[in-house]
Amino acid sequence: MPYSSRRSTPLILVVDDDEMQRFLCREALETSGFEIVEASDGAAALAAFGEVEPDLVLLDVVMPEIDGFATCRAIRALPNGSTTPILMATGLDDIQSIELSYEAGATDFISKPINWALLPHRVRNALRADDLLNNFILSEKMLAEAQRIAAVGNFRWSPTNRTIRWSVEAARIFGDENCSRPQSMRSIFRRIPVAERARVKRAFRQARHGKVIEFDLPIVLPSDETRYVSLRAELACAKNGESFVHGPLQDITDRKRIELALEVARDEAQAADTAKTAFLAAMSHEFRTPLNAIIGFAELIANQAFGQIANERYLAFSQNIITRVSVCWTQLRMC
Amino acid sequence: VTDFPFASVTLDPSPNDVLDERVFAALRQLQRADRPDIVRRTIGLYLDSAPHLLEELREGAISRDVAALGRASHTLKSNSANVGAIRLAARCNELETLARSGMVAEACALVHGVIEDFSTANAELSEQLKKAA
Repeated sequence: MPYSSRRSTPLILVVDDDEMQRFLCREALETSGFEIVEASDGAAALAAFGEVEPDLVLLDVVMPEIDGFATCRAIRALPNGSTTPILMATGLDDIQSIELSYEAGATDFISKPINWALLPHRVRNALRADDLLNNFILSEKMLAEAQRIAAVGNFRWSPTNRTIRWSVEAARIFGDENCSRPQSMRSIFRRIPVAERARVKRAFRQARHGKVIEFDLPIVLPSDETRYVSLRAELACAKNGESFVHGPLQDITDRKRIELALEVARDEAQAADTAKTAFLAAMSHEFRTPLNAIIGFAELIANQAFGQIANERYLAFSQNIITRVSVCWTQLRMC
Repeated sequence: VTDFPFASVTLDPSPNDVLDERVFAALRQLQRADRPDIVRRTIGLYLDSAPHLLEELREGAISRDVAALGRASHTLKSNSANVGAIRLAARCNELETLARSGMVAEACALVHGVIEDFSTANAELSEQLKKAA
C-alpha cells in the first residue's frame, strides 16, 4: 500500500548564512517543482521548521553562532523533527564533517560546491527513501496491530544456529516479553509438554527438508499457564544462502477451551439422556400393573357398584379418575 | 568525478584557469523562460558580497584573527566556486585550511595572494556579466 502523505509540491527548508548559496538552491529546486523556504542561520531554521514543517531540510555545516551540526541535533529534538530528511552540505573531501553530520542525525550529505543539476535528484531521492521508510514503519505498525487482535504472530527458526526469532505477538503468546532477543530452540522446547516434544521435533525435521508442516500443540508458560498454539511452517532461503524455517503461529487457547467445554457439556447431556431413558423404562413398568387395577375398579364403580343416586354421584368421580390415570399413562408411554 | 563541474576546485586546482566555463554552462542549464537571468544575478550577488569578505580578510590579517580568516575564506571559497572562479576558490581553500589549523603567519601571508586572485577573477567576471546582459 505505497502512498505519500506529503504535499503535492514538497517544501524544502534551505538553511545557509550565505545569500548566494540560498539563491542558487532556490533556483535549482524551484525549477524542479519544489517550494522553498529560506533561513539564514540556525535559530531562524528552528523557528521556520516549527512553523512550516518542511518535507526536507538542506542544511549548511559552516554557519556562525549555531553551526549546522547543532542545528541538525536541535531539529531532531523537535516534535516531527525526528524523521524529516536532513541533507547536510559539506566540503567534498571533508570526511570529518561528513562523519559529524551523521552523528548529529543527518540523513545524508551533499558535497559543496553543489552540483545544481544534481541537487533536485538528490532531494527527490531522499524524499522517496523517506516515503518508503514511512510506509514500512506504518505497515509494521498495522501488521503488529492486526497480529495483536488476531493473536497471530510469526517466527523464524534458523537450524544452523538453533535459534528462533519472532514477532512481538509470537513472543507474547510464548510468554516472552523481549521479542528482539533470539531464543534458543532448547528454551522453547522446555515450554512444550514432554509427551508432545517428539512429535514437534519430528515435524520440524520434516520442515527442514522441505515439507510444509501444520499442527496444534499445547505450551506451558513460565507462569504455569497452559496455552494452545496452532502453527504452520515451511522452508525458505535467505540471501546469504542460509536456509530457515518460518511461518505463522496463532494462539488458539480460547477456541480450544470452548471446544473442551462443549465436549464436556455433550458428554453430560448424553449421560443425562441415558439416565432418563432408564428411569422412565423402570417407572412405566412399575406403574403399569397398579394403574390397570385402578382403571378396572373405577369402571366397575361407574357401571354397577352403587344405587341410582350413588351411581350419579360417583359417576363423575370415577370418570375423572379414569381420565386422569389415562392421561398419566399416555404421558409415561410418550417419554 | 571528471564530469563534476567543480571537481577541480579541490581535487585538481589548475592555476592557469581563472574561470571554469563548465560552471557557467551548469548555471545556464537552470535558466528558464521565466527565469532568464540566473547567470547574471549569480555573478551580481558574488560581486556584491566579495568586497565585504575581502575586507574581513584584510582585517583578519591585521589583527591576526584566525577565526575571522577561516570564516571569510570559507564563504569566499564557496561563492568563488559557484561562479567558476576556480583559482581563487583553490587559494581560499588553502587559506581556510591554514587558518583552521591555527597557522597564523602562513594564513596572513596568503591573504595578499587571495586579493590579487580576486582582482583577476573580478575582471573576467565583469566581462561575463556584460556577455550575459
